[in-house]
Amino acid sequence: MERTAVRGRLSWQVAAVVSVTWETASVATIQLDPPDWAGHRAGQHLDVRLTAEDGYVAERSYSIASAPGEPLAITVERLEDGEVSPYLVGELRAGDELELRGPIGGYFVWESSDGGPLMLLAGGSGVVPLRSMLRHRVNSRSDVPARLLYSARGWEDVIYRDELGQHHDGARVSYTLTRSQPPGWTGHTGRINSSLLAEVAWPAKTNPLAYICGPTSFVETAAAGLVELGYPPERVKTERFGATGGR
Amino acid sequence: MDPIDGNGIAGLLIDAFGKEMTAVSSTCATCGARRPVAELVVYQRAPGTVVRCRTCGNVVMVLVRRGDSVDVDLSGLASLSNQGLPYPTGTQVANKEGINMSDEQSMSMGQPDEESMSMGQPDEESTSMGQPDEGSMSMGQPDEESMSMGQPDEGSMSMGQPDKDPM
Repeated sequence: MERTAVRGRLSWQVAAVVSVTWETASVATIQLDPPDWAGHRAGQHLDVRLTAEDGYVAERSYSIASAPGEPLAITVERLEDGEVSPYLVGELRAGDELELRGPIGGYFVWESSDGGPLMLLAGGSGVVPLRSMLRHRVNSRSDVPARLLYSARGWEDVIYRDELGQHHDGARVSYTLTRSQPPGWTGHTGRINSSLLAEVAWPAKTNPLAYICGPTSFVETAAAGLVELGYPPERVKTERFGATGGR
Repeated sequence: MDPIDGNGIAGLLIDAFGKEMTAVSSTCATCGARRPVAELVVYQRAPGTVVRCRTCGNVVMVLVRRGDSVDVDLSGLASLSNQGLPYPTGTQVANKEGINMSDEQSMSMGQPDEESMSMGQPDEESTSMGQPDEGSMSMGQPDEESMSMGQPDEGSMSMGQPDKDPM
């Protein structure tokens, strides 16, 4: 799906904020209504631009949280030292306007025709583009089996917790909680490592297609682990965000 | 600011190249490692964006926004190609001298070539790398006015220099 805008230009536009929904104490999903949206693919993102009264401009890129065909939404984690996210998560309200452009990105995308089985690995808010893929899988009635391994600090930090609990039909979601676990927790604990990947990931012989999104250290460990398990590097797609970056 | 990866500058790359670039395969001029642009290491610090090779750490691209346009220094890249293996191999032959954009012999940057992408392929309004063309950024020809393409630029903003000092 090529964007139809003038070639070489990705135009900024002003979108209305439809709603702001808290996912965790520091994460919110912002639904947007841009006047001109060509439609996106699962895994793509959009750029947000904030302009201060003194003219200072800050731009960040955020993964699109909604599936293709659904109303446009991003999910943003508030980073206390961030330039953009404290505004998006905390100050922005329904009815406000937000300058954005997109959809952007052609690498970290999944369409149901790409097949699978899908191995999705999320670190923290890296779950956002993978959620779009899982929703796209359901909406497109794909029969591609999917597994998501989601690493979060604690259960209260898990984004889309209720929704992820509802993926049953051919999709399996596992969690590893790295810092704190609720009483009676029977899931995995600690950071991902080779043995956890060997236990949770599709065997390489099933020719899985992997998408890994999260902080750099998470992504590097996960990607190396999958390749160690025999995944061909070209079927392991990665997306990294820094501690103060967007997404 | 911690580095991100090439996915996060897809919009800036569209501004610079006129098309989606993150799925394009890059080859580092220093070590020859080949990987999708999406997998390169990206430091976003004013006044520009510095892109480094994930294998050897050398600077492969510097992008600086100037109003509506973007200045691009690609002197650390041997090639950009939408063909071939879109993942790191680390086994490609390195161009030992580093690529010299003014060298017509060098790998696909200065010469139209079946495999290379907008570099050298006529492409409507895009930046027409490699197509020597009066006004444009002229990757194939050193140009006094353009921004240090093909010519390591000692003085300018130290963006091509390894920077140990995160802001």
